[in-house]
Amino acid sequence: MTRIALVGNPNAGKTTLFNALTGLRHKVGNYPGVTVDVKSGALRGGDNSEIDIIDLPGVYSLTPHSPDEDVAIKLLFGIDDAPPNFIVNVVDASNLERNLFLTTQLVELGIPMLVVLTMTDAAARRGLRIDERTLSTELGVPVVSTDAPKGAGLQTLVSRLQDQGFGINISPVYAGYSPEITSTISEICAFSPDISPVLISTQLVRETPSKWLTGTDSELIESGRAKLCALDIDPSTAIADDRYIGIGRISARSVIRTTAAATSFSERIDQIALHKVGGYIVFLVIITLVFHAIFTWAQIPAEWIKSGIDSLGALVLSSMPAGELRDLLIAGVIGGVGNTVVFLPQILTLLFLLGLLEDSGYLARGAFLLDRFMNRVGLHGKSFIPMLSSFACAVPGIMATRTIESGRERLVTMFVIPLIPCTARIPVYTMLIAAFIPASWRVNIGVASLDGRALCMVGLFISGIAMSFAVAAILSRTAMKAAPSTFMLELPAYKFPRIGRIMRESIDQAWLFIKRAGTMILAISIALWFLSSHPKIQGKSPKEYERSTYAGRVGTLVEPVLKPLGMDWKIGIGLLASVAAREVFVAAMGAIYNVESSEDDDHLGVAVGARMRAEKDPITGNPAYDIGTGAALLAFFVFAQQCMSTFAVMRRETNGWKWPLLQSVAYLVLAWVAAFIVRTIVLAVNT
Amino acid sequence: MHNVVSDFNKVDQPAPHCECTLDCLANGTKGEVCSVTGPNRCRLAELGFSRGCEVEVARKSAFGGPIEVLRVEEASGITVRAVED
Repeated sequence: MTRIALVGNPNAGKTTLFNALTGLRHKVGNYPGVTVDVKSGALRGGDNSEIDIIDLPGVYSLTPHSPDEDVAIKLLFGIDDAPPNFIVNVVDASNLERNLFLTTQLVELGIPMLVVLTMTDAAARRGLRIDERTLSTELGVPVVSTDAPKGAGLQTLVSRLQDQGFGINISPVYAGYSPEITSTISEICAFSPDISPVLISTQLVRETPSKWLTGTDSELIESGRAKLCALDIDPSTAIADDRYIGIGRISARSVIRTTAAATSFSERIDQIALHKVGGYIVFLVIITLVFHAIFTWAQIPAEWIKSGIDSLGALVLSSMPAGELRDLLIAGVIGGVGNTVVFLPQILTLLFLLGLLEDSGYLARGAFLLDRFMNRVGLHGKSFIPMLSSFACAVPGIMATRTIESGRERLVTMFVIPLIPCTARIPVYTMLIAAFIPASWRVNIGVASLDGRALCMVGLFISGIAMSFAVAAILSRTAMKAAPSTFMLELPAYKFPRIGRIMRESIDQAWLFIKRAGTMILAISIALWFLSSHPKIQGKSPKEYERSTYAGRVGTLVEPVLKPLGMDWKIGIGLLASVAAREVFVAAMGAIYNVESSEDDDHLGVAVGARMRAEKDPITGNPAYDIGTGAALLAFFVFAQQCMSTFAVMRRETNGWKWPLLQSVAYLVLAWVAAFIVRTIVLAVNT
Repeated sequence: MHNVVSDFNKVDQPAPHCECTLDCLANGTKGEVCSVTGPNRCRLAELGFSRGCEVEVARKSAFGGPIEVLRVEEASGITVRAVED
């Protein structure tokens, strides 16, 4: 099958073009490096054959500096697999010279290629018009203009792709290098004929060659680099400098100058958005608005869903005969799954607003503003974006760290991400707060009287965020100590966010969350329902029976560890079940309580929290849990790493078991200690 | 027009043939790159901060944070952080 690779600078419009070509609803972002994995889609060829279009992560050159660039560059050189049959190089006309740097390297690969010019309207506003025909002659490959979002020029491009209207430049080595560099490249070529000149020139610039090169090639390149350095030539800059001389010539011939607009739209926004004082005010206002929207506006539809689920529970309660099946349906299915669905408005709002910020180009500005603070705690300005998306879910957050060049800063960021309060914690927090914090509790500060429950939620969020920074600061001063790496980030031009697309993407992601949570909750509820009612042993009192079930035995096993936290074996089962995912906890507790107290119909329904509050100690008959238990549980959920998906993605991204295991154990210990301290304090204050 | 060493390590003395380093340029001033040093030099060179290139300091962030540099005639800025020793 024919494979066409879409290659270009970050933000050049590759993914937009990919979507237009394949019709796939695929994520595109206005932040350098949103395409973290290689995605592919199909296009029908002219002879009705299938063409596979691959969307590669953005690269500025064929020299990899970060893990996502490594993926793209290895694919183009055909390191692990055959190289693509054709290349479509997406070139941002408003940043022509910088984009042509990659183009001139791609031409040397000797793969038939086609240049697609995007953002020609933005270039025109800057007074630059590009003569496609001259550019095509200069580069030796065909050039087409397109405006993918509006569909202009797309048909020409599609027919070009179908007819395979690509071109190969006949001179495969850049002619403009200084004699020393040219001779170094040809010497290496003579020793190792299988290594191409462009691979040599793109590796000579690195301090150490990429790990995927063969040992001999790597040594040849290192000695070539040493030779150039001895001649007082720094390959890291000299090779690029020489190439830019040629690029300057190409652009001088193919760019027609007209009158430019005085200041660009982006520049005017940035005068406020990146202002030394105003920038931070804008940033705070935006972040406050995001959280306000999640916790206030999104609550309104959430209430509708909640009352819908309540009436569904009531309907099942009144129309089904009493029994285990009804209990399972009400507490496990309606209570558990329903409890996740209630958070749909919040998750959707968060995903949508993050999408808006990303697509408009603001997130890169946030990284610019925050770099200084992030740097203090051993993180990087670029850590800001993965950390912000971790408020939705840690999994995409961890994947987004691939754009961080420094391995150490990337690892620190990945390590602290599970502490960021993600949406899966919200159902647990809400349930526990409702169960243990009295609604009448108000905190009076001066004239203001604040709702204690809301304050508690804010406190939980702040604790998670603060701990992530604290852990980062500790790690970067001890175990992962190193000099701060440099920071470099492109600030793309602002653009109006594509609302429709962001909406579709948020719905897709939210649906994925619901589906995952729903199926897992359902499976665990049913399993727990079975485990906590079997084996059926006759002739035991209900209390003895409870503990002799499978679930009871496991719970009793972990109980000693949880006793100091004021928790019993039932909570132990809930915590064990929530190792799969945090949101499972609510349904798990529902399933456990339901089975052993099904005669008590007062507490059936979705109110798992009410059930926990009503739980009695089997011996004394007093309430089994106090406010200390509630506080300890909340603290536990703030810090513990209970998420299989996070574990799996950590294992994949760090290529081993060490970091995910270390992370899980460290946060488990942290969660236990925090829960113990919080319980002690709460109990001391409360008596 | 100033000559600029785009050295993002704060150095006391710029290279002898250059007037100053990037972080000493005021907001909105233009300069010409005469050499690029520091750990990011390879990436900066690829992005077009090459010898003889005309650049503009678009803005410096508060608290001595990153500097935004524009290649004159190009739409997007690049931000870089000055590294303290």
